[in-house]
Amino acid sequence: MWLLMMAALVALAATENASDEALYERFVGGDSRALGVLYDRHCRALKAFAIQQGAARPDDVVQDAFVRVVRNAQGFKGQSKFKTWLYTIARNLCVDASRRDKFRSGPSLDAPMGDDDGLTLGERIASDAPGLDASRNTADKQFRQAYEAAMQTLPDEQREVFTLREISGLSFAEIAEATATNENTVKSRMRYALKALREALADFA
Amino acid sequence: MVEMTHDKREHDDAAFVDAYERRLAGGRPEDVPAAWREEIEQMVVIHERLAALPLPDVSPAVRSAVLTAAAQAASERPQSLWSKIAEFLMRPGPILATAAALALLVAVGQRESKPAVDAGAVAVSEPLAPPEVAQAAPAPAPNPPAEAQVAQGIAKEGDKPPSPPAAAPPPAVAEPPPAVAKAEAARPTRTIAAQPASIAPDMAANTEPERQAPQQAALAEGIADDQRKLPPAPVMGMARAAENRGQNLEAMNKANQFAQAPRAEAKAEAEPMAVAQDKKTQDVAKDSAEVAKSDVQQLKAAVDKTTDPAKRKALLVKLRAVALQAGDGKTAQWADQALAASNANESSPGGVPNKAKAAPAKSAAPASEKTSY
Repeated sequence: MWLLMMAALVALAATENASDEALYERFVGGDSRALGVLYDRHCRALKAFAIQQGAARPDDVVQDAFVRVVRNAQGFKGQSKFKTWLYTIARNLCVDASRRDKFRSGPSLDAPMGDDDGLTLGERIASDAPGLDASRNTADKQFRQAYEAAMQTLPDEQREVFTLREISGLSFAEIAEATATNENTVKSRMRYALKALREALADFA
Repeated sequence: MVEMTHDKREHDDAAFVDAYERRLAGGRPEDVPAAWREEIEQMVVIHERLAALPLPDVSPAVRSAVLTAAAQAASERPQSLWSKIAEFLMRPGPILATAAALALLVAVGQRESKPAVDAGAVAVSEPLAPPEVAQAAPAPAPNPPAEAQVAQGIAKEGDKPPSPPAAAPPPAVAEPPPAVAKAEAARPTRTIAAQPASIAPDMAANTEPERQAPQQAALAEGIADDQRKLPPAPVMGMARAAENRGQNLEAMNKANQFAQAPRAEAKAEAEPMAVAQDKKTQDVAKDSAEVAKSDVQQLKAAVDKTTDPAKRKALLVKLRAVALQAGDGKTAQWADQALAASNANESSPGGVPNKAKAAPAKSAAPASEKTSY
């Protein structure tokens, strides 16, 4: 009994510490739990990326991205990292969504409001409006507002590179692959994004 | 010129970003170029505050939808061979079948390991045995080949326990000729059962029969005493030699027992028949004696009733003969005396029968005969 429990714990730890590629290989081999681990590992950063990409429904982007990952298992050849592949799919989804949203009349619940607190419309409806969470730090709130405002001033290429690097944690080579761009160009875009954000957030530095 | 400026600027931007990344990775501020140090330090502070912001939560419904799609795709997708094997093996049936097969293999292995270990001990110990022991090993009696084969067949049937005896060879061991030792060394892996038949002719020509009998007796005693002892490794060759001799002796004894068994059975069958025959003969004799006694009584009565001397004389002669045949000596003697008296009366002048002589003769008859009349 103890051996079984130890084996289960070891297997669980091995699953949690496994690389993205190993987990996805296990999922392709029939282990559905491996995809759950991958989802929990990347869903929130992916939603943040979708928000920065201007997606009207970031949750839909996350769901569609993972469903494509599930259904296009044969399309992943292992030549690139899983995270690069996932963000490439999400980026394409965001592009398609932005094209559709041009014809949308009403506001999206998942889109950032763009006002003082940077929350989405859905988050604002769910919270006890008109106030925000009382425990939220005022300084963080001000920084978040300034950050969201500064990000909106960045060109799409610079905002994309900065989000992928700072929020999602992709390397510059992976960003270059996901965006089909030269790595030096990615770094140059990063340099300009840093410069703009430093100037916009000088009061918080 | 413009491209060179552009490339130089990109190279400069990459160097800046690399310095920023090294600083985020734990590099010291002093390692950052002085021209970018202030700018990079400000970005490090912004990076830390940005990292402190929580990431947006995703609706649980999204996770459910993703996992449902994953499960559906996993059911539709052909599983890999290893997944199929693992799934099959984790079912109760294959687990039980595998456990049963393993248990069977273990049982068979343990059953076969005993003879294999014994045979291996023979194969290992025989080449290492000392020369004198190896020479003393084959000492079979000069058996006929057919009898030896029968004895081998009997010995192979497993009447004897497999554990070899630990008895050392007896002190009086005949030394076989060197040819036997060469044969021993030339066949290190032969089986024990093949020894006597294979080298029996050589031994029969080179051993002394008068010295083999006490050796075999001593060996038989040693084997019987130490049959259940496990021999230590150094004396394995000696024990093996003693065992060979013991097997030969035991095979001979068994062959003799088998040969004597029919005789014993015939004897056991013949004894009741002889007893019955004797009893039958005794019964016949007893019957004939009783018939003779009856004849004696009838004749004696006829003699007493007869007054004709000639007829009485003839009856007395017949009575004497029948009494002798019946073993009745007294009646025969009486008949003889009566016959003599009758002859004397015939020879007397008066011609009167001498009843006085005959009467004592009649009275002289034994009391037993009187009562039997």
